[in-house]
Amino acid sequence: MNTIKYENEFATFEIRNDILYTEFKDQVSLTLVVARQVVADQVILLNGKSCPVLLDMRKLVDSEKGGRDFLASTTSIPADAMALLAEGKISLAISEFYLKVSKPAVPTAIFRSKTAALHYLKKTHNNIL
Amino acid sequence: MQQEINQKHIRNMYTMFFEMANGNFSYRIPRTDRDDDLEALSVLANMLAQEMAASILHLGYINPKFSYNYLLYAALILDDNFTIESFSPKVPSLLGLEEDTMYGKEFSMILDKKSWEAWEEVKEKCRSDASSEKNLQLTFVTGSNMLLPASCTVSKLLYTNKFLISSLSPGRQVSLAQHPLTTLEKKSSVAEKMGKVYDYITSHLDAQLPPLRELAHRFGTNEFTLKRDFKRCYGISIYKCYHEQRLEKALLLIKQTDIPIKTIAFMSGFSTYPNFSKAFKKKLGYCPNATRKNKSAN
Repeated sequence: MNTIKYENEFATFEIRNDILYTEFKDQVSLTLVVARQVVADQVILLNGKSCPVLLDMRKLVDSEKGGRDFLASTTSIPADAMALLAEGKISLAISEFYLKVSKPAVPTAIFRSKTAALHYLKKTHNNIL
Repeated sequence: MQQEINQKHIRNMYTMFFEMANGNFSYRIPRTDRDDDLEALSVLANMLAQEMAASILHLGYINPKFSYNYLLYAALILDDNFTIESFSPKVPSLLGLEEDTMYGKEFSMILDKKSWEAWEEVKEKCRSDASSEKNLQLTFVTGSNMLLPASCTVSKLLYTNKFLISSLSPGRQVSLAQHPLTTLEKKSSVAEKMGKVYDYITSHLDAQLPPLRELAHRFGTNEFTLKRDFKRCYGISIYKCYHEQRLEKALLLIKQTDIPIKTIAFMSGFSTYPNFSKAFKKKLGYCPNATRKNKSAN
């Protein structure tokens, strides 16, 4: 199975088994600049197609409204479903706020475990198809 | 030690909530590198302040008795060593600092450490190029140790070696707006419904917008109310919103992918390429092809 890897200043990306893994780097704050760059690189990697996305929020330290809103409104371009991986209090707070207030445009859920997140993505993706 | 940190954190939260209760949504609680409940509450309070500022300054629905325009709310004059030489009267109260402690202080000393790098870069550019004017986001540290992020413009003043730092903020206009005040409950349920309509539009950009009558029925309202409430909430009509969102999506795809532009037109909900090209040019002033060529050249 082909694996594509890429990274920018704020996140690492990997396409494996038709899932786009996006992991924010350590100490990153989800600002508008960060969200734009991450979505743009996801779009480039997928060349405009969409697929299930696992967004690893565990190393995020903060977020700004501009970043959350941009991600929520444009996430439907690269993602047809999204699982947010969160662990500590901060990443869980940001993830929950993003989900409940920014209201992403694709089915999205928060998980503490990668296995559960992948299961959700596969199930949601199959339902969409 | 731990208890002391917690107490400081709680004091900061008290300050933040009192400021918010008084209508100041600009302050932010300084963050630490801890990952506990108290820190998560600080994150939530900061995000809440951002959301509330946007909602309350939102023209359409929250505060129909007033409208907002941009007012200059802070101006500082710095000498050629970037020391504070003068400032507008409101600055000390905004920053919670005494007038005499500000005068003669190095400007960077009232900034948060995270803004230092950006400030250093901009100040050198402004010093070397008299005609340049730089916009940047700076975070100030207030007297009560809260953070105050602000969009600032730094300009070198003509015929002198001094610099002006100015910051704009939306302010309330005194004139009364046209819409009568409705009850809070009604407003919030309307806003919630319109929020759902907005979400529906943005998540179905690849398809044609259904007739407004059908859309209205889908969200349990009628066409007239839907049009009126959406415009009040978002300041633009449903069609214009859908149209602009589609073009934004198309622009992102043209800039970031190699997908043929014709395909992008269909992916963005346009039925024909000429329609898309015309709309794109009207909105952005140049053709979709020019954007792609420009991207390739870069």
